[in-house]
Amino acid sequence: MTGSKRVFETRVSRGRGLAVPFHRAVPTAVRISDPIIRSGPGPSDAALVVAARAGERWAHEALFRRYAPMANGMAFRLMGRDADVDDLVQDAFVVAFGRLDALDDPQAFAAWLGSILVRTAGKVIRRRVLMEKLGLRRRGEPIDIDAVAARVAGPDVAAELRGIYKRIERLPADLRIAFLLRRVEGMELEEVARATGVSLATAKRRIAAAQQAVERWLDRERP
Amino acid sequence: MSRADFKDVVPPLTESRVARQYAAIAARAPAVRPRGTKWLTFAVAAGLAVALAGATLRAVQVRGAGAIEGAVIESGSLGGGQSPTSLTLADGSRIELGAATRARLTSARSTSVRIDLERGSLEVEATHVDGRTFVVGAGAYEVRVVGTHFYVRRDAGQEVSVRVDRGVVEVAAVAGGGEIRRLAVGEKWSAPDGPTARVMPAEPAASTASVAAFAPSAPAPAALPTASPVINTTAPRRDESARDLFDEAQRARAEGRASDAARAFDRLRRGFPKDARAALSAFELGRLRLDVLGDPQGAEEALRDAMALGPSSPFREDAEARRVEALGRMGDAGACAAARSAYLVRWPNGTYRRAVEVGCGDR
Repeated sequence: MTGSKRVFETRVSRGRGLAVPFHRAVPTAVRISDPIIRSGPGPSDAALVVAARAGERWAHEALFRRYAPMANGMAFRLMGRDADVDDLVQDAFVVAFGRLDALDDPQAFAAWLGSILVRTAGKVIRRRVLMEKLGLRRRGEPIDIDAVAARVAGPDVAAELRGIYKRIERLPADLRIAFLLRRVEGMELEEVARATGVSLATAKRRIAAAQQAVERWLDRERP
Repeated sequence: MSRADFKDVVPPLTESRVARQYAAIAARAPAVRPRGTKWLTFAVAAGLAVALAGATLRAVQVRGAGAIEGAVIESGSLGGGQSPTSLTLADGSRIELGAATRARLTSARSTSVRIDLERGSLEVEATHVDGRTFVVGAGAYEVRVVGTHFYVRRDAGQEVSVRVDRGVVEVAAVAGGGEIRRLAVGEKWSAPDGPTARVMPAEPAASTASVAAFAPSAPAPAALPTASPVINTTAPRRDESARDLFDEAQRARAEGRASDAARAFDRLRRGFPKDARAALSAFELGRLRLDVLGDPQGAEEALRDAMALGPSSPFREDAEARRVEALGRMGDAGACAAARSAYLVRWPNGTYRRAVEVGCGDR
């Protein structure tokens, strides 16, 4: 994690949910005014969640607008193509808003939303694979990383992303998600396990399997 | 290349795209129904059930968590040989309502149970659960369960009293100031009921008295630990709603106009103290005054108000911790130490524990 400030940084200290890597820049200073819990300007996440639970539409919208950049970015990196992002983001927020009562720690909304998005992405990928197998969807639609990465990231990042997505496109959804969370999202193993709802051992196995598959392809491509 | 660099890779996100996404979400999201409405339905159904049954003992088994929060439990006059109304939580804790009692089950989660007594009396048999807090709020006071069996009575506007039959409880002022009083078996405590409070010493241990013999005893509460500063603010205009003020504050804050935001939050919490946003507005006002406006005294006042307006709000811990910081900056060592103790008792493993411990500058 770089030292740059991210408005969606949050520290998940209690409750269930995914400790996304956003919290790694949690300061160690002891002053309370230091942003141990950061939710950007305005009401805290907890306050918005409480208001949303009470039926306040404005709070739903405030939560969405606060986390739309995070959700869109994560969705894009998980799916590898912009065309899938809108549906995934919308699905994740609809699920989240429908289950706000199940969120034990309202301040952990970001992490919780992230885990919902990850699991929704897994379902979307599995559905897509099934449709391809049934001939209802064209296989191997191009990944449009270039269209985005060229504008916002350096060419080295774009090249590495292209390589990753090219090689994981045919991996099973579970392996692909676990690999992307580890490799692209930069999550710790425990975080990957929490986000995908599996044991640590299973998360490690999936990441290792995906890594082996990628390396096998790399070996094949070497001259 | 670092992995973090990948985070810069995001799809184009224009305002129109965000608006389109939210419109789709709003159209698909389940109908928003405030919890209060759910409980109105529940209350009507429950009332009918009770009327039909005609039972003298009304026991409610509460097994859910969030779904039952906010429920109001009431008892009648208990005349004609009626048995008292009781409420049994999933962990076996039992709360018995005295005559003409009204209480709200503010929280019933695996990590916290809170019942706010509006009037009448409660007799509580609390099952000890590691890591779970059990609090009965009575006006400006809180009774925190450490042991098992105790009795709380609130005569609204007159007196709050507590008696411990078994185990240990702690009594504290909601606003956080003053002493935290630990009551052991046989001890009883009482103080005048009012909007603000300070916990006074308990009476010497006495034999467990009957409810009828449970007489008021404590002296009148002293002044608040810190004086409320004069706030230069204006009341809401007639055509101004809480929502207008909240939106105005959000806008001002997003645009960097901290003073304007503070004024709007201030008008909201003062003009609409019963609005759902009032406590949050007080808390945000405190944060602004403390972090941006350099006004720790004003911040302390707003944070204290936030705690009083939302005693069990999810930002209660934040407000208490920030109040310690504000008092520390004000140099009010006594009040700061009291607020610190209150925080550490209430949140022994709190997020801000380390900061609060050194927040008064004496450690």
